[in-house]
Amino acid sequence: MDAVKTCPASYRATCVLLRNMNKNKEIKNKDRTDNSDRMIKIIFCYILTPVLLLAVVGMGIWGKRESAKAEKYRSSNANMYERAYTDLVGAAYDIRILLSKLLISESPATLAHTLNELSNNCAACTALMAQLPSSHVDSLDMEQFIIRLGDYADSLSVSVMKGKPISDDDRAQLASLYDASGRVYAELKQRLDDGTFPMEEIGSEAFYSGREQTEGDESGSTDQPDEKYPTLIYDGPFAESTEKSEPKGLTGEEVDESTAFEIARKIIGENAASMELATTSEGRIASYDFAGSLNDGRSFDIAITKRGGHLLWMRIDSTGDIEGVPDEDEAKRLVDIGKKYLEALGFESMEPTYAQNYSGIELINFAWQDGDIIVYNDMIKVSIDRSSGEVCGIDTRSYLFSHTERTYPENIITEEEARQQLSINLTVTETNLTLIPATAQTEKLCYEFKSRFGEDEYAVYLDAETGEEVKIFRIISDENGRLAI
Amino acid sequence: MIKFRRTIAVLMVLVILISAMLPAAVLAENLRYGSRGDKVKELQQKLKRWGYYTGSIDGIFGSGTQAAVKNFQKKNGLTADGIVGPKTAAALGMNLTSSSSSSGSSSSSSGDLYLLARLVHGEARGEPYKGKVAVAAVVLNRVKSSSFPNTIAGVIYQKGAFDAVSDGQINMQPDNESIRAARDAMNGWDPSNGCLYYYNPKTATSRWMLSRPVLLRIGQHAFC
Repeated sequence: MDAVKTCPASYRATCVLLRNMNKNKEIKNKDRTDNSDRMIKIIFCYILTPVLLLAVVGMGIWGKRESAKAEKYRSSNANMYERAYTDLVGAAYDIRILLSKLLISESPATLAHTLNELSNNCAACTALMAQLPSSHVDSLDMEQFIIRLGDYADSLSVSVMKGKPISDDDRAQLASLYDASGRVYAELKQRLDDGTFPMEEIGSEAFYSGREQTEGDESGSTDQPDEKYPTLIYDGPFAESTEKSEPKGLTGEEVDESTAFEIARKIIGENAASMELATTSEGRIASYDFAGSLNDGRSFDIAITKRGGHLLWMRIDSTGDIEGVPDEDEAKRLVDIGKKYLEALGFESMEPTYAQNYSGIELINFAWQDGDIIVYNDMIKVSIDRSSGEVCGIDTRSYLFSHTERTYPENIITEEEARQQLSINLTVTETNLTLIPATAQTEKLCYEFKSRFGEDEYAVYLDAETGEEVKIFRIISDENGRLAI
Repeated sequence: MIKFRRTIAVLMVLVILISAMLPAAVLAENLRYGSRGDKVKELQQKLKRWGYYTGSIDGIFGSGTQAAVKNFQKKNGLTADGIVGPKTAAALGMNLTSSSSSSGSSSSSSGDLYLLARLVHGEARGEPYKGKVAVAAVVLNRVKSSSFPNTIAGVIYQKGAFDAVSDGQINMQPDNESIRAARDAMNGWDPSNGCLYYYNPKTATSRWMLSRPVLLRIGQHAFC
């Protein structure tokens, strides 16, 4: 029994338990109790204890290896961040140097070249920023500065290449950008010079912005851009004027909810079993969003603009499952359905352009035809359930943003003259007169040449006044339809 | 009698030890190191699409595939044993038993579309369809905005931007509705009406976010 006492407490407790269980037998046969004690002792001391000991040692080794692994990952992460950050400082330095060169260069070739380099460096900067684990709230302003700078460089470079000299306003803008880029670089560099790479800091809300580290401080709202960065005036996709542009096609007086309700009900038609306001939307095109269900139980959503009571979008559950590109007959039938639907809504002379098919629907992009000119910006998307032929979706957003009365240049070259300017590699299959977006905020009247080179399809746009190439799209066809890229 | 008990005790210990190794050994149709065939191909395709696997799709379960499976299991909270059993298969959206190939749903998922669909699935699974499209639209609005990265992946993987990325829910297989919602958003439908943010008022903690004016609500999400 002495041996028993040297064994662990847990063992002893188990002994007691087992012995109690065997109490009756114990009284009858003391020998047997001794034997069972000995056996328990053997199991614990010679089998389980070593197993437990081994397990403890094993866990120790495992833990050490895991922590070594974690350390390895941590340091490889830290190295990657440090590399990205060092490159970011380098790119910021290059941006500053390029801007300084722009201040004193005169020849279009150097200007265009330097502007392209500047735009590339800005792209590199944003890519590097994306590799760093900074908070998306923190990087907003810095990101905006870099993206707009690159965007501005692009638009300026295009204008320089077209032979326009840099205006005084642009020179002044470049000078203030040079100042700002110097500050940005100095701040980034300072953090690198401080010696310790700011692994923890970079994930904070105040790394780029330098904002006070008070989570949720209302003054931290970034709606007002930081004065650290100058406001840029130019025409590009990321320009402030583009992002804040007003929808041109949103005409008419403000309508109230019940008027909007009636408009929506008329569009859905007899089929509507129920409908109610789901939300009012104060976004870029303020709207009343209704939701409801049809007589057959399917749900639908529809949005009517507050101003003018225009249809913004509509969607009905569709159940069809036809896949694959429709053949000519089906495509024509679907286009007719879409056109009729648009006409019933009051959208006259909308012509089909590209189409896509997925999830049993055909989505057709209809563009407004102004006389003999296709206006690509005034686009309405119509989805049609291919098995039932029902219009199950419509989206007029682009149309509402751009549709307006337009005047076109009068002295234009002939189609034949324009065709002379085309690459001889191209075989033309179709020609149209079109109005296309030339920059983010301007449109240009162009001849559209749909053409082929080998197996590849293109749409080439030549300025209808000068015959200059304005844009080239590759047309990508696959089992989901056709896309212009 | 002693001998008998000792045998029982030894047997019990053995049973415990063996049972720990058992589950892996019993299920015959699992995919494991050395497996071959179409199922392995399907597995490799899925792992490749989600970025776990970089090798070739050859239908042979080698060490590369095994490492990828382990990685996938770790990320999805499964036991990282490198064996594709029923649980791992379910997480991968694979059916191990049926021999028919996966459903003929839209196969041509370009990388961006699929990534967007995964985000929608991870962020807005329980939301109405319009809410799913709105979540995808917010991502696309950010891509077009000057204050955010200019690519879909850049926006989605921005630190702290989406919970589904931080907690790994983005790695689940998206259902057809999420894919369709992503496609509808890429085709221009924007039920968020130009918004750049959304949050769930019940769970959101960022006071910066909560201080922004709410422009509309869809399902559980407030958009701003």
